[in-house]
Amino acid sequence: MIVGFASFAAGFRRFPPHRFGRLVVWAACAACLAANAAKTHSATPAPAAPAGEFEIAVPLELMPYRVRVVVSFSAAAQFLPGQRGALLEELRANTVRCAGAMWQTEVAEDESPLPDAAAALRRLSVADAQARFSSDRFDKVFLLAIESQGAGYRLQGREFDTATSQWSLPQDRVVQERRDIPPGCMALMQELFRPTAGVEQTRAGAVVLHGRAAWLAPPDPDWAPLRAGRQLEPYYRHFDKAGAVERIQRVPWTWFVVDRPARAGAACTVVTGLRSPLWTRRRIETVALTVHPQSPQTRLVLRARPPSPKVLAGVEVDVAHDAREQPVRLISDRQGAVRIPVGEDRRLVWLSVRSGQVLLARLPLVPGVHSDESVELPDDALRLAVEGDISLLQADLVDTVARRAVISATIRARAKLGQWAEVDALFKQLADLPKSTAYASAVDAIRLPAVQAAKSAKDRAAEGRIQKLCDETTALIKQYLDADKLRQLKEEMDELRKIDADTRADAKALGDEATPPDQPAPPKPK
Amino acid sequence: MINGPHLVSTAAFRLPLAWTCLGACVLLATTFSAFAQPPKKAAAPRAAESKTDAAAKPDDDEGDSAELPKLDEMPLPSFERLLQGPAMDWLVLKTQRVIEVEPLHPRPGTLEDIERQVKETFRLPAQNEEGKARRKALANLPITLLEGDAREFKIAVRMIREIIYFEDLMLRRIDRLLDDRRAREAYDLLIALHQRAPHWAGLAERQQRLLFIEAAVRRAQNDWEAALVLLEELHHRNRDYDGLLNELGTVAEHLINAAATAADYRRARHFLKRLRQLEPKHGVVTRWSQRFEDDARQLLARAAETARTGPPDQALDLAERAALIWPDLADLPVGFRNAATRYPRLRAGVSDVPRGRPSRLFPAPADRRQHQFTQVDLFQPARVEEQMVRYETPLFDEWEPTDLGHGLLFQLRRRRAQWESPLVATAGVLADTIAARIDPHHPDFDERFASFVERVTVHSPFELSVRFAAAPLRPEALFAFPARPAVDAPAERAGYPFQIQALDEHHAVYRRAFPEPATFVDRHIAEVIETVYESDEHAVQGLLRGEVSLLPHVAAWHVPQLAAHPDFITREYALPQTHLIRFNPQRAALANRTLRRALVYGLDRRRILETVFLRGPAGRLGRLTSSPVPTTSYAYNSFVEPHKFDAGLGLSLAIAAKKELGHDIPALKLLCPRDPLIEQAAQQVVDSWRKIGVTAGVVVPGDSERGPLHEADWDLAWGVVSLAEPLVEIWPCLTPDGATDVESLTSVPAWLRHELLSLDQAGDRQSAAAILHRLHKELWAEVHLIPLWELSEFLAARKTVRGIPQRPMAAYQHIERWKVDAWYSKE
Repeated sequence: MIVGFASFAAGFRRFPPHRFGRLVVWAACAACLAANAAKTHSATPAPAAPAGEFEIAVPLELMPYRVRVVVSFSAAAQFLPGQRGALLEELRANTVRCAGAMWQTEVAEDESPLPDAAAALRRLSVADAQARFSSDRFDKVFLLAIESQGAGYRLQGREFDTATSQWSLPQDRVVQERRDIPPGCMALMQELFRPTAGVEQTRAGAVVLHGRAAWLAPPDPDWAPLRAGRQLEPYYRHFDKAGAVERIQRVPWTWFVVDRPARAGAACTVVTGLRSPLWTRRRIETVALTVHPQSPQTRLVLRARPPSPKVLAGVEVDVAHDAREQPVRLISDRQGAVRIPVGEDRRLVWLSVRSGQVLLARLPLVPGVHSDESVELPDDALRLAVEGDISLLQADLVDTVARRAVISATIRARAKLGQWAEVDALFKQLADLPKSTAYASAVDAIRLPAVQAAKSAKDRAAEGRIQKLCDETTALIKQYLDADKLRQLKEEMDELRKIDADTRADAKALGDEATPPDQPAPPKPK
Repeated sequence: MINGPHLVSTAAFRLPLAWTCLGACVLLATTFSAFAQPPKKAAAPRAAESKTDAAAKPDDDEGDSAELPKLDEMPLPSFERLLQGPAMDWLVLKTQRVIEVEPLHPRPGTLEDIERQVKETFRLPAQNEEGKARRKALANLPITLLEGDAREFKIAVRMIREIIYFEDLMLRRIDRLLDDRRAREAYDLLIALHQRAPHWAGLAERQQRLLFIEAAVRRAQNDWEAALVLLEELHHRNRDYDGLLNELGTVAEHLINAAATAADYRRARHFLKRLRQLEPKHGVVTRWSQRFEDDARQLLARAAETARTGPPDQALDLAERAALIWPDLADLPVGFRNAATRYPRLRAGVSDVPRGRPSRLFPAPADRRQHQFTQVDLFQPARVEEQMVRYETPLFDEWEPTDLGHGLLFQLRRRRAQWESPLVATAGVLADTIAARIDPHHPDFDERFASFVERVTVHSPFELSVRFAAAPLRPEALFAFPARPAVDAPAERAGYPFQIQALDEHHAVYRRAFPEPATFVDRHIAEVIETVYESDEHAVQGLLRGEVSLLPHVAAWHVPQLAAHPDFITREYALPQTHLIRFNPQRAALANRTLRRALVYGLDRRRILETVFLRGPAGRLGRLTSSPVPTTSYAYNSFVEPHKFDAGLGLSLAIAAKKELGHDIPALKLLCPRDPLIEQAAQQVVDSWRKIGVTAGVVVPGDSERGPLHEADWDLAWGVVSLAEPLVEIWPCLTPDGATDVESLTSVPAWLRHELLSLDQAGDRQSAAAILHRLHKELWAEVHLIPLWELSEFLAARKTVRGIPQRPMAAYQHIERWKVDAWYSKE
């Protein structure tokens, strides 16, 4: 498509502006465009051209948003029909002023307002929206409710994206005067507005986003759809053979972060917790929806993989923007839920889900986009139980090693003093301490049933982790309870004892040979 | 060289000069041994054949003794001289001169004895040579001088006018000391004299005088009680001592008056009784007895009048006051009984009273007692059966599991007994209480409780049901919380079944929220007054004296004494108390398991337990433990033995911990509650750790520090727990603030956390017990906290208090049903 459009643009400038020349150029471009039409970078399929006419695929960047704004006035707000009309007109003018060509806006009053429009707004479902607003006519629908609050007015709104069939969360703001209602509504809509983009995967594997109406720059630059740092969420749109949307599927744990917008398409970073998050298939279109954290937090529920129905309580979830940052540690409650608050920067965070020493999953999340999320993870109960048993065994091992050290040191001290009876008693204490074979047997007693259970559950990951844990412990046992060290100590003490015995014998002999007082001293050897 | 004789002018030169002079005038007997030296002047054989020969010839001796000091010039030996010795006698010659000699024998009556012996010789036949010889010998008294080379002499008896014995000198000095009111020295000298000659004439009189004088001295020093004691002793020795009765009266009256003025009538009566025992008819006795009797009679009359017209508690106050003033009043038994049965009051002796908001740092026994009085838990521990705690509920008639335990249907009680003082609760109020605990935004939110309870439904004012997300194994333990939600909690002094009527530093008064009807005959306790005592000893004294009738806590070493006393009962609480030390999870150093194990091995817990809490060997009253769970509980794993004290191992592990940490072990702060015994034990704990190279200090937080535990500056904290149902209570026991959310166990290893979570999911008792036993072992190995010891707790009460359960679960269990007989102390 880019090539086609580029050639169109080039041809439009280069060739003479007479009718035939234009037609030729148009035809060439159309051919290119048609060749690219199969690539999934248009938010909606181009309407079929009437028979007999050329089919022209308008680039997504040139497609404005078809926006419908439906405003509901509460009775208590006491707006007269003329006032309501003026407000709507002003609102319409504001949309032009702010969004410009980016939006093709229809502003209308809700013809059948509910008594409590704000509450109704919160209750609206996707089905309600789909029934009421066809995606063929509108890309975005804004439902606004205006009600009085105290001396001012409360404005509530929600945005519905027809391409992805996603409601935004309700947002509201308060204005004090009637004349502030239109700009207030505009500000609300700006807050609610979630630009969409087509997703293109290049051969190199990079992802390029083509923002809808990206080339239709709004008068107010704050309304520009794709800016650096914007975060988007991908969706798959599945079509049937007739080309109708069959279903829409959110790509989980995957986010696009715009690096730099460009006319040819915005380069972005794909942040995902999946191995292969994006794939292309026939009759599947990938679109991206801009996300705004609109809830103060996201409640994430950790569940065990089916068929187990249990939730994973007591699991540690570390939250950080990146590996350099000190993570905040959360623990899942008894419902398996952790609440990840929206940061001040409203940026994406990484969740490291740990069970003991094992990392179960690493997932990206933009908190606040969805108020509830859930993830299925392997049940680590079996390995945790083994970890507990090993920990108890290690505690006992540390005691034994420490006792061994104390007794060995005492043996050396006693040996220096020649207290061999005590040395023998201490060696007996050493011998009575648990040996490495006992600990090794204990490790096996832990390992075997656990491995068997893992095999029965066909959990190879758990089996591998259990084996690793037990192997590490066995190595520790061998290292710290090495029988050779005791043997060396025994030999050393035997040597010392022998030397001490010899020394004493010599000293005794020397003492016996000492000259008696009555006899002359023996002559000194020459 | 012997100098010429000359007058002795000073005591310092007296003795050597006397020796010199003596050589000139004293006759030396030939009968002495080699020590004797012949005098310069050969003495004429003065021993006469007859008595007359023994007569002194003073004219001959006057010149010889002129150098000796005269009696009136002799200063009385000083106190030190007399006390330290050596002893000496004064030989007073007929010339009034004095010779100091070593003590003569026999004593006293040396001269009399000689005279007697002489007389005996005359019984022998006349011209008897033996008699003559004896008389000759008796004519001279052998003496020994105090100093000099030649000290042994004889002196003619006829020359001696008198002998002033050493004891008499002491008595003279004592007299002078007493005249000067130097009672202490006089006492010392009297003691010395008593040891020397307990029957010496004049000793007893001096002792009596000393008592009298010292009593006066003490009185001058305002030590009236000591003065009384001395006068009592004097009375015992000599009732007729001059001035004694007056002085006794004065001193006793002062004491009685002072005590009466301070309204300490027991004390006043005590002194009065003492005086009465000595002098029943003394004026002071008569006067004060009459006065007390009159006062008591008036109060009793007012009590009767108030009982007819006014509040019964005031009538009882008056009757109690009358009993305190004069318990021997004839009309008192009837009058007191009337007031006491109308308004039964229980007095309890405690170590502390509630001090405002309960401390999260250390839930004090006072706060627990207040909770018992003023709050009604939906379910309360009732008794222990088969190692498990059984619960009872004061609010529900029935509670029935439904849907295989996934629901509970509660039927509230609609009627109450007349003696009850219950919380008037409807299903709506209880539903609010339960809803608050499952509302994440409510201060009472309990994450664990919320994980069990899905919803609560009110069916009628007296019926509600609870739906569980997961069926709890012991729902009663789960619902053991107060019935009112915290945000709607009544004012500080309100509550059920009792309300706080008054609270100050020394007393807490609890009164029935619903008094029993006036027409009720068989009444139950209407009021409990807790009085603070400084120490266990004072509290027991108060119990023995009758100031209080109940001690909710009795120190271990008092238990045998009180159990054996005929007037008291002791009751052992069904659950013991476990002392433990918690670690601050925020402290990085204490996250090191090797360090924690070093601390537990380096602690001689048995010695501290036996010296501080038991004052005797460990056993029935206290024992080491390896878990915060009671050793009598089903959850206690008896195969896990407490860590043995091993200082060498502790030291070795401490060194290993230092290496693991990469730096020295920081100084640790051990926070402990304000309790004398715990403070003492905590000091011994830190002393033990110092020996293995870990520096620690004891910190007792002030009363103002009542914030959450995690905000306080501490490394370790002393805790006292009593877990009724470990299945539910082990988790909050492991967290510093008693929280039950999973977040509170961040510092615990994942596998241990997982084990604790699996406890919530236990489906039957065997599984729960197995998990708890495993947890016991894991906590012991991990040293997540240090269980120190377990103490069997006792209460003691006078037998007049009835209704105390045989094995109470708490100090005031079933307090509404207790009765107290009308009784007052006659002491």
